[in-house]
Amino acid sequence: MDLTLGNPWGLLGLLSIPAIILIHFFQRESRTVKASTLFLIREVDEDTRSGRRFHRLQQSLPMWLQILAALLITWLLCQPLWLKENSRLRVVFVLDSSLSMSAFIDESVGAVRKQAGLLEKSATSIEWTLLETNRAASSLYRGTDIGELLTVLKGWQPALGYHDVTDALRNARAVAGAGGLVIFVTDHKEDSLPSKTDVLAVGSPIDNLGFAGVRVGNSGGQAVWHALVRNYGNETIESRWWFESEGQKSESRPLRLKPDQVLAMQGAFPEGEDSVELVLEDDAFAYDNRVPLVKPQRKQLFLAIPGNDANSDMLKRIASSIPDSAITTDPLKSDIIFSSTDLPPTQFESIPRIITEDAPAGESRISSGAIVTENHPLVVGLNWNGLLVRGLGRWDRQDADDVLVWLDTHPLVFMKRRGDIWDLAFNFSLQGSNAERIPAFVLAIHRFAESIRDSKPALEVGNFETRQRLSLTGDPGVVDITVEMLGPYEQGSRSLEASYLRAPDLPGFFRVNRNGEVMLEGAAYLADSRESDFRNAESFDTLHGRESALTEANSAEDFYWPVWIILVSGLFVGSWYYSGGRR
Amino acid sequence: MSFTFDREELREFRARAEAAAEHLQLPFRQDLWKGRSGNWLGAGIGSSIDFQDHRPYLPGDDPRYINWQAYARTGAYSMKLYREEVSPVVDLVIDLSASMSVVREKAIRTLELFYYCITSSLHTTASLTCYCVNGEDFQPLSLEAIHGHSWLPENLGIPHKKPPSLNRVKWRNRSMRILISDLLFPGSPQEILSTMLAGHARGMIFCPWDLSEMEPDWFGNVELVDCETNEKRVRYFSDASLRRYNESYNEHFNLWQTTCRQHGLHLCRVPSHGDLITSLSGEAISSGVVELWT
Repeated sequence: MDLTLGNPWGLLGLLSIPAIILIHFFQRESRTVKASTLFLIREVDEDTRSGRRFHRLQQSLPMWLQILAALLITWLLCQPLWLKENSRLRVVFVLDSSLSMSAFIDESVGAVRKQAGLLEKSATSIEWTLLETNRAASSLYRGTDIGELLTVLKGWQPALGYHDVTDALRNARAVAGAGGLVIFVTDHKEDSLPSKTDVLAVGSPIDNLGFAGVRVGNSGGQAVWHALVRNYGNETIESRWWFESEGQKSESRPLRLKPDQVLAMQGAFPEGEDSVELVLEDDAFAYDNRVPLVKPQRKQLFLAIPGNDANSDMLKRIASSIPDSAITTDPLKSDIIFSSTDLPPTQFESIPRIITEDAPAGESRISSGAIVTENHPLVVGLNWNGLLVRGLGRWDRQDADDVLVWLDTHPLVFMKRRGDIWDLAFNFSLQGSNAERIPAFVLAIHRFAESIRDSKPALEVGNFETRQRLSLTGDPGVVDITVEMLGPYEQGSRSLEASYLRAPDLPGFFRVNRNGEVMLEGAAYLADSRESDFRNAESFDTLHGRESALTEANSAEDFYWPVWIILVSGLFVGSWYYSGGRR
Repeated sequence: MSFTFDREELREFRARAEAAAEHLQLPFRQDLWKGRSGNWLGAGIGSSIDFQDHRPYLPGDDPRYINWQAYARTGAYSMKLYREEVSPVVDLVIDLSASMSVVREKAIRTLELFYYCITSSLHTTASLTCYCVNGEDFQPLSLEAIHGHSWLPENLGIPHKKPPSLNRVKWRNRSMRILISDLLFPGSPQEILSTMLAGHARGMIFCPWDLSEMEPDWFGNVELVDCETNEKRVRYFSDASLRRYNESYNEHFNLWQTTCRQHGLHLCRVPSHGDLITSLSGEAISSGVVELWT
């Protein structure tokens, strides 16, 4: 059985030993006695120094008895506990996966090492588990070697923004069991935690300056970046910022921000560069000091208007208003075909269409009736009430079609189903209507075009927040998706399922490949500014005395303590006796 | 401590001594005495009624002791000898040095022994002379003063550096010489013993002692003040040094015992604890210093 001390402060009792020895260095104060036999005392006898002076160690049996008594009293004061051989303990360290913890990895290692050192004598066998609050992550370590646990912890990288830790801590409690210990390692104070969860906070306030937000826009056909820099500290901070692109560094410029001040910056992308990094001088928290940016690039839509009828001009005007699109003369290469007539199903059968009625208005009377809009993404929120129609379309609605807009009982606009393809059909004469002047008509076409763009499998370039959910257009059955991290903080690649596809955890450039084809290029930046604010970071723990309680629960007290007490009493009596008490 | 007792206390000591003398007496029977007539068997021929011997008449013999009945029967003069009855001669010296009264019990025992010797001597109608000494100071004591309990000299308690000097004592020939002293002084016992045994005397020493002298409570640092010289010494006593002191103490008295035996002088160490009769019943009887009263 291992020995532990229930009260290590009892070791202070050992200080009594040098005190006893020191006392024995002194001679006793002499007392005066009248004697009749002075002549019998040998003049050469030793030990004949006078007074209460520091002389030399007077070794004697009482001294050794007193030292032995002091040792026994120290032993009793230390409350020795013998660990039970079958005692078990599970200790689960749960790391706060908030990115702010990256500033306190070393502190975390030190605190966990210290706490593990205190706990390792609490039971004969301790199973250490290292988890993080990122529920998507697997267990970091599980075993009995605290050294391995610390090694894993040193290499650990938090990745999340502000998040709820409750579920992770409940999961940790399930792992630890009712008698185990769950220790939440964080850098700040959490207001509400599950019961019986201990906190080991390792943070400290840091004056941090970092990018708080960024976006890339377009101005006059040129990509322009906009960035916000914020001082999260309590002191004025002076720093510098610059561009970096492909190893090139622009001239740095000074910054000076007062506490809590936000500075907005903007600028054009350097000419000829598709990607840049905005960089601030290094400080304690690195991940908000670099913002990677790419020049956004949407998927190009190709539109075809093969017919040449009365609607063609109007359709061309509408088609040209669709952003990031081009009109092509080859319908086979197009993404959407604008058609005034219902083309035969076998022609361009895999290409979605926008079908309009090209017949002239046969009636001079405006069709009457209430216009009713269905709840469909293409028309939700659009106002069709201003639409005036003379001459309704001739197409019959099939059961598989979805009507978007009704005029009384007549389907005015509907989604026409053609196998797996949906066409957008306007079942009224454009010529005899004011549709071109109705925003709902144009917006419905734009929404349809955007839905086609979203489903088009093609390369897209954009800027994203870290861990932003991403989606790829294409067959959902495809699983060979890899994300390549291109730095600066993270490099390498990882395979993911499409449903779990997210931007990288850390700021940086990345590329998403599907079946070997690049589908998405982008840059991820830290958008959760709460992780950059360290003013509420603090260090504390709620584990004070916990190891003693655990040790006590897993230990048996010294069975022989009554013997020691009797022995101490005997030693005191012996010391008194041999010190002259018997006289 | 000194011999500062009032008369009542002295009377009490004497009473205890008389009680002891009822059972134990000085060893007058162990010797033949010479001196003035008395009640004790003498060494020579006397006029007592105790027949001793017959022998032929020799010129010069006292005609009063001719056995006329034998002359009538035999026609030859013969002498009928009777034992002599004399009074023993006792010279008693008490040492009143400061060491004798270093503790009260020892002082009391000393005075009890003194009164015992006086009482026992007077029971035998002995010719008794008493003296007290303190170093070189000397003073004869009158029996009147002793009986009146006013005999303790006031100046004899003064600390004195030298051992008791017996040279000035007027010892009488063939006397029983009794010294009451603790013998706690340095030097050879030879001089004192020679003085006591001169003149065919019989010597005896009553040596009162106290347990605090044999096994003193001196453990640790002790400032020792000599009770006789007021000399001060500070000593540290451990068990070992106390053991060595005890050895010295025993060696000192072994020397006295051995020397006394060599000179035919009786030495009896009388402890100060216990009552007087008990203290005298042990070593004193075996060493021949006292004998049972018959």
